[in-house]
Amino acid sequence: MGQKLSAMKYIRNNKRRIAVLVVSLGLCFVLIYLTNFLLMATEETFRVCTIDNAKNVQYAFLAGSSLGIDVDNLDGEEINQQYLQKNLELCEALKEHEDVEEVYYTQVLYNVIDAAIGSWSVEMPLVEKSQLKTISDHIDVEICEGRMPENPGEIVLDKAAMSNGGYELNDYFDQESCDKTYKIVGVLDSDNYLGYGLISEECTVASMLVILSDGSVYDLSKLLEEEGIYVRDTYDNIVDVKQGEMLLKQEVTDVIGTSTDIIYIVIIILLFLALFIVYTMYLRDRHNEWCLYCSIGYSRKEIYRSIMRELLFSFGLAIVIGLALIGVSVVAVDFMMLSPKGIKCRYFYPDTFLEILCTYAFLLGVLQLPVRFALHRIMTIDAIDDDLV
Amino acid sequence: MFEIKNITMIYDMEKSEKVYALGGFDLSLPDKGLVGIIGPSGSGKSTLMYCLSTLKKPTDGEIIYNGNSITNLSDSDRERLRRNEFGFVFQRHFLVPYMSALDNVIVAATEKGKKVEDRAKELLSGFGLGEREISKRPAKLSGGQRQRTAIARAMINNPKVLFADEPTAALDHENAFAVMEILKEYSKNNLVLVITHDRSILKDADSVIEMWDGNISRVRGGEEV
Repeated sequence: MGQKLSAMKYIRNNKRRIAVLVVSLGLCFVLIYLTNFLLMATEETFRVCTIDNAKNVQYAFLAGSSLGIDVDNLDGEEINQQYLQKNLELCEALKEHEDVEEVYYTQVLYNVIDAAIGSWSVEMPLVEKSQLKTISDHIDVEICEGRMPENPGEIVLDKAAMSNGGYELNDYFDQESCDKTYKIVGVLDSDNYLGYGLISEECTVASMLVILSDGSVYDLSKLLEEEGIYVRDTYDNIVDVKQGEMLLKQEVTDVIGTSTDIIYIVIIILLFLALFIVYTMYLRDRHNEWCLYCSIGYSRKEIYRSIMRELLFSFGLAIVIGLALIGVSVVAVDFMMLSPKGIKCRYFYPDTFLEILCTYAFLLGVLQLPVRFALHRIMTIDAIDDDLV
Repeated sequence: MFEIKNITMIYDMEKSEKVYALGGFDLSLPDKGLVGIIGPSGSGKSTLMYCLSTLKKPTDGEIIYNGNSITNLSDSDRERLRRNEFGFVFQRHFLVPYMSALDNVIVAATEKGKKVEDRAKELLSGFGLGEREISKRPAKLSGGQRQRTAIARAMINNPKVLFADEPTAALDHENAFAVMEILKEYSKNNLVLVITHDRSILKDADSVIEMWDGNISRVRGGEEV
């Protein structure tokens, strides 16, 4: 038999209806992908803050008890003296390790980096003028605007940190306890939220151990253990790749994963309900037409095939339109919202595409229920209503 | 063409008071000609047509078409028979609202391609639908044009039997006679079964079967009617 029921006839003659279905499906595609894109932009940004930056520079703030200071039986000044002494001794000891190039016990500023969702504090060492060359050589990023710090309180930030904080050259760095103290005199040619500068004489911020390593220090605690320091106190703060990975997983990836799952489920449930209702109405509208086909000799199988061809065409078109809209929208969101704030992002997430395609396959599968029901309801024309013209 | 033996159709089989739509009668129908089936509402004429066309399965009896029993055919064989051998003109046209008149005719075709399109156009123009009308949707056509489109759809495969259920019910006299003329012409080479309340349209029928209460009360020549 040559003639088949054409899906295109319905599609061509009901463009508006098909367009509503296709655009709705396409927009859901975009919605799911954009949600993932923004959440993943947060993770991309925090990955740089927590892991990438900790590869070459590690930080350690150790509580008095971890350094072996008898804090209960000493007065404040004695504690401070011992604390400084122990940290300086630790600096010297750590320098002996082959992975470590230089260690300073020095003041550290915190730069708060805002992502699409949430924020993260990134350490910025402040050093003496004599130490500046060592640290700038170690970080190894050129100045692209302005100059290197020359006077106390002068700092440099990289391009991403400048954008993220909304800073201009010669602005003061936003530090609550030391207002208008740290002046930004140069911009580093990097997008990793880097920064450093010279200690100010006017204001003091908390000091930490700053370890300039060759990139192979994964777990700073182990290095400290070799020097007899055990990181156990709740006030101890270690910034290294191991901690970065753990924090990224616990505080970002897992949280984002949960949020993404919830958002997915909500979108899919809403999409499913809307699609189910709309599609059931659509099938009801076509009931008499299919009864006619059945009466003039088309089999239910052939009617089913034509329904599936229409559905597959609509879903296929929705995916194509969705992909085009995603392409446009991620670029637009990046240029309008993320890049100006120095927030990192990646355009292509193959796993998300796969998840969306699986969702569509699932929806297509679920829609078999009303389709099967509609096929079951098909009667010959002697039994149908007079809805057709 | 059709040999009908003791055809019985009972509705409400499970109830104590059964309704006999067809009361068990024999009938023979020729290979060609215009045969009218006439009778009041509930007389069983539509049920007879639906049984003959395999849309309904009789409760008892046998229908033989071209020497083969079609009473207990499988669903797919019944569909094949309807698709290849029979044509249908329903009382209310049953045209697909979103398709043009031309597409409404083509949708029933068993073949595809330019040849079918040309035949559909030829049928429609032969029934008085111009170039403009054939591209219009049913809602934009008059009642007569819709019914003629439905007849063209029924004839697109040159069926051996054309079943027409009240084909003139929604038409004025002028259109009714025009439709009957088309059916009469087609009956020269094929069998056309027309169900109607209206005796006047059967004046050219080759024979008329009168039904009453599920049984054949009389079989007459068209002129007698």
